Amino acid sequence: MPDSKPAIDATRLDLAREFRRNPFAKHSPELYALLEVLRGPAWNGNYVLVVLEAHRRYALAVKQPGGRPPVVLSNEIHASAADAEWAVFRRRWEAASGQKLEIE
Amino acid sequence: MTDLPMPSVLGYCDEWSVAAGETIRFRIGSLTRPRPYRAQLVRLISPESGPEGAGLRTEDVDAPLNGPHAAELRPIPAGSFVRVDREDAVAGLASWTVQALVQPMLRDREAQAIVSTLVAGQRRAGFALVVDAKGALAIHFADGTRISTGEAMAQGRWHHVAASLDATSGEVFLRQTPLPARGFDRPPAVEAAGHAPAGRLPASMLRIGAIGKPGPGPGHFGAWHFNGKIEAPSLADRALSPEEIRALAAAGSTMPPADCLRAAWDFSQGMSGTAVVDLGPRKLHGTTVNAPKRAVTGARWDGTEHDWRRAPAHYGAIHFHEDDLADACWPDTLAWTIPSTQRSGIYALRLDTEPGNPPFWITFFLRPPRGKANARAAFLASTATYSVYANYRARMAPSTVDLAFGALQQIDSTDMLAVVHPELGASTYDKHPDGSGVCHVSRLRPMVNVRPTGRLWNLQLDLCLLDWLEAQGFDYDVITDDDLHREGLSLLENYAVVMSGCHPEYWSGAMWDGLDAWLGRGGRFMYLGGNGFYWKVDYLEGHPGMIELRRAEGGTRAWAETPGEYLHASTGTLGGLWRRNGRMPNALVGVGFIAQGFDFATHYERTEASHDPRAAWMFEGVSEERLGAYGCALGGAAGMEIDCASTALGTPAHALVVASSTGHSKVMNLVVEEINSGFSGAYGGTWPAVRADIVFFETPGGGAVWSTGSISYVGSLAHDGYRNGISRLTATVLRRFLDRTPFEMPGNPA
Repeated sequence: MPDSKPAIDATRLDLAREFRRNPFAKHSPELYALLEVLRGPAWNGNYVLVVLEAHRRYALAVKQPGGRPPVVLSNEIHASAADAEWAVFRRRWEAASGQKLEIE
Repeated sequence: MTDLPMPSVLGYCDEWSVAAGETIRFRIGSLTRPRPYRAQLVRLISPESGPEGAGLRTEDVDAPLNGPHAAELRPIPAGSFVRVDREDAVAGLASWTVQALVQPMLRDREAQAIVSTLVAGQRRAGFALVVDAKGALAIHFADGTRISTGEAMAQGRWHHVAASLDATSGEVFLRQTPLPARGFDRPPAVEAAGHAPAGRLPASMLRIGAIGKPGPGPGHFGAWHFNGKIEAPSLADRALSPEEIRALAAAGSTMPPADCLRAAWDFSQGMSGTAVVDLGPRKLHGTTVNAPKRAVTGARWDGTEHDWRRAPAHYGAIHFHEDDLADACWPDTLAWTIPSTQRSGIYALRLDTEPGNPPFWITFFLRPPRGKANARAAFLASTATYSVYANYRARMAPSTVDLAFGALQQIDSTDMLAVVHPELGASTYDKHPDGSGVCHVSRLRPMVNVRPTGRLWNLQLDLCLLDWLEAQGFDYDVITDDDLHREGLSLLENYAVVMSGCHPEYWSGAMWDGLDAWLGRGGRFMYLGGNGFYWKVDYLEGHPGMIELRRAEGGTRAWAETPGEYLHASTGTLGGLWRRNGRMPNALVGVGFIAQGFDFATHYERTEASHDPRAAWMFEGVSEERLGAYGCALGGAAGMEIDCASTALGTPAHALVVASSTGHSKVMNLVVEEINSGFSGAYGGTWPAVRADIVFFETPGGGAVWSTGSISYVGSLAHDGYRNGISRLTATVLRRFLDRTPFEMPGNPA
């Protein structure tokens, strides 16, 4: 019987805030559990970070199967890798929960 | 969207370790159209390390080749096959039969040739026995006649395939016969018949695994490349009857009756080289092109033997791939005769094109004059590892890698060249389009990620060490893995100290022997990296610039080697981890690979053992409690891939662990070779072994080893204008290692 529950608990905005503060830090066990879902095969979205200008400008891209080049999402430019990580977190959260992530 | 500005003029050099007084030749071209470019020779000093490092710094070198040039269009002849360059191979044949055993691995290609006399774009009479777009056996004739069985062959299953043409009737007979295999699938044999124009075949070259294609020499171009294995192709100079073909298929044989044998190629002979032997009367021997994988399991392999040398009949196949590449075969474009006064270092020819396009870097290594040293210390550039990582495509392929990395992968448009132009060939971290692992790499092609820009990894991070040596005023030479492989001990014995790079992961047996012998004679080695001395590689005789790697049995693997194919074709020895080949990294350098994670790097803390008088000297003036909590490589000195001491794995009993890292996260996972069955919980913070150790020990010859056990380490050297604990610690060790006073083994009488 298919599981109709959302993949993640969208009320745990505290975890989203924790990630937003520093994506590259040692996280709480609950945030790691969330990230394992978001980075897993169901929701990871195959994102990759394209460095447009080292340490200054980053774009997101989506990796493609069959040896094809990643498709760059040119409408989103980020000033840091951390900002880009947050953008991907947000996309994955919304895909997994079906709800907008309304924090900054 | 792939229209990011990319380097548009690429190149490589003939030799990438050269000495003053020698001439280096550059091969430069464009993959799309002729273009102007400017060449500038530079010495690389520091990489594009960002605000936590020194930043990209290069030094222009005056040379006649600097300046504007024009790049020609240079296609790359990728794809492996066997060429039989004998015009009498099929000349005069009117009736004939072609057979082979095949294991097709890929569909969705217009055609994949098994045996062929066709040349792309030419209409001279000929044939190609192919796997067609449906995956079915088919025969294509030069006049456009195509006859197919219409039924896809099962991918990964061995088949007997045959086609015959009777000149008197013009009848073509075609049969694909699945060979017996374990399991309960019973796909049927399929036959087809048709008519083809009669006539004798003209003199033609013959190809196995491709059709011919015109292209600029000296490259051998092909088309319709086969992806999969071919075994025992043969030619008969009459049309075997359907009954004869059925009988041969039932026996799994392709050997024509003696009365009509024209050629029968035996791939089980000469598996270490490029020669392909024909058992037939005309001796239509062939040569492999682009190093297809040999010493691979064939249709007769039944699992009872894993050593191709002992059971060659089980290894009668060759695995061909459309993206195999041994040599781009570009002509020499520019050359530089290196002045005898030119200092040793890492150099590059930078190719600049249109404004806004990133430059392309042809990196090379200038060693001191052969047989001499210009300094008492040498940096050993990890050229084997740089080669193996060259043109790494998998980072741009869908995967769950973020789980292992704990962060997004970062690429740039120069990296993307490797997927936009797959003819550049792949890295051994990649799989071929048919899903099999890439086990051969060549440096004789443009390499998109051996440069001072882009991901801080390998060469880029190693430049942090060179930058620090420059800033601290240490004299050093640059030598390479390729030199060490060729020259062994004689290369190292000119030096008091040798420093590794951040990630000397891939080692040949000859390299290991050279380092081991030098350490036995009192050499002092600073292993300034992580995950070193891990995989075994062999340099291929007959293929200059190529390396073979089989990811056998265990380890942190980008792919798993095919069962039965664990032994290198080049040497007949077991591939895989050195620790499974009786050589423990821990025994050589005191530490071995233990964990990896790429979310952040952390710091070391001193141990009690660091206060032992044998080691306390190295911490003089180092006051940091959290040693190396900074750096351009993920923000700390201990991270990415880390090594720890283990006496069980060979760390000498007298070795001192003087510092260990702490604070790793759940993303820093224990390596799989330490796990016998899967479980969770083996990561930073929970598993004591998940740590980077700084280890010191003396050797019996008066030498010593100092290892840092972390890829990130060298990224911390430049922090705060080189005024930091990691810098001071490293400098103190290097100065002591340069001091001629012998180290004493503990317990030895003075």
